[in-house]
Amino acid sequence: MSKLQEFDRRVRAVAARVFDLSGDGVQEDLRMGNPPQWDSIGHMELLVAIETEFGVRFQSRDIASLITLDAIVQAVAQQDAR
Amino acid sequence: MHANLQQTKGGSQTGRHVIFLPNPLPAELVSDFLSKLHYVSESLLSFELNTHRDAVSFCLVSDDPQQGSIVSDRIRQVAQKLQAAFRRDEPRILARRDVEPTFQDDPHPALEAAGELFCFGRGRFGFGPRLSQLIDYFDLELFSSAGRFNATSHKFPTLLGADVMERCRYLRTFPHSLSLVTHLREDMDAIHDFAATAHWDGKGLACNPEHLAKAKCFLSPNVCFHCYAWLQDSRNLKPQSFTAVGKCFRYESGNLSGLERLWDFTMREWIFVGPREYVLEQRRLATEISIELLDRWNMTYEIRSAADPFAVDQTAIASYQMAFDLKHEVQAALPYKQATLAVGSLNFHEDFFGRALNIEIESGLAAHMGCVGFGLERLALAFLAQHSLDPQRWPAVVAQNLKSW
Repeated sequence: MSKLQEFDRRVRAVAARVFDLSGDGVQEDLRMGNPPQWDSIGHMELLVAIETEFGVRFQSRDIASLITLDAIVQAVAQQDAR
Repeated sequence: MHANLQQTKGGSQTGRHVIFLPNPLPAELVSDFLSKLHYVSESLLSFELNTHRDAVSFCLVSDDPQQGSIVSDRIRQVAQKLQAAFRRDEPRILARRDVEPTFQDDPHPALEAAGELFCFGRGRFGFGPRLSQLIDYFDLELFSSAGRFNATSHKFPTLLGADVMERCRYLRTFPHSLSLVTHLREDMDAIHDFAATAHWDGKGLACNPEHLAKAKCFLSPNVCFHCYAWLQDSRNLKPQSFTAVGKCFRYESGNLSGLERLWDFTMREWIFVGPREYVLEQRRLATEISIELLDRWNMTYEIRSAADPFAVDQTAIASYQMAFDLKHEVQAALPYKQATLAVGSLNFHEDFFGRALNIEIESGLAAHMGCVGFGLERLALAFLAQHSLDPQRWPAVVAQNLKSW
């Protein structure tokens, strides 16, 4: 499993925990608004949980663009590469 | 030194405790941190943050060492949670106007001496005829300006259902500021017993809590939630704007301070519902109108991006507001304390309430919403703080409308 795949798996696990998802729901193309729990409050709950999980810190200017799971995985990978 | 030794309750203070924070608090967090400490414990009598922002000294109402340990842990928790959620955000300035201050006094003592301001209790004030007239003048100006949005005027109750508050997630985001409403249970024995035993014990109402019914309502913290609740489960909604004025209630504990921060205050709102583009355009127009009004009143102010004072566990949402540019605040200068005061806010709620309350626009999508609120008492305070109580020093347009001053 590549590092990116590993990040993807862990990010999805965090999203599943934060949004109370299970099974296929975690495998979907998750983005803000889908699932419905991923609203403004859910967004920050997810990002804070991701920060805790990976020991990373997202800047304010990034928060508005991290609205898909893929974008979050990429951001985590970028911070890991630094 | 950032000091806050305001007594939060009666009684004599006991031994002083000092705790060190794991990390020095960023300067930007000091005011939020101090404001949140008021909710840490009823036993916390006073507190102070040192100049290095890494230690808090506090006094409790009792000598109980266990209580000291609990309060210490909670203060550290507040600091840790705020720091964990903190992101350094430079506020975006949308408008700014500086007028050379010609008055530096705090208007509160003069208003009290003139019989224009009466304190009923912390956060609860009554207003005399002249101050009432000034507040009404600002409201009329804001009401008239709502015509530029083709806003329809509505009246809402002061009570707001707990079901709506829950769906709007207010219980989770602002639990510390809620004002619950209850009444006696429909039970003859309970009513008789209450009548025979309930009394003011010097600090509050002493009564058997079992006689009280489950709270179904809150005193409303804002005006717009009523509007959104009114539209609940609507379909094919056309873009529309509303205006309403209402009493609002936010319990702010030891932060309550004169007209600057009231428990019970009055807010005039402009409310926008529709597609995203419509709501954002209305907020842009609202910003323009606000600037025109503030300029006409010759105020010193700044309109800038901001965030709400969320509960400790929810402070991360403030970063969301800043990142998505959801909240703008009108900060008016208070020359007597060389500080500013938020007298209004211009908010974009995205489709949060549309989804929470199942409100759809013509396209079938969840409605977007926005609201602009002006705190009328704060507006009056900022005006008097900048221009004095003497109408001869006021902008002519205001003085002409308030000839009885």
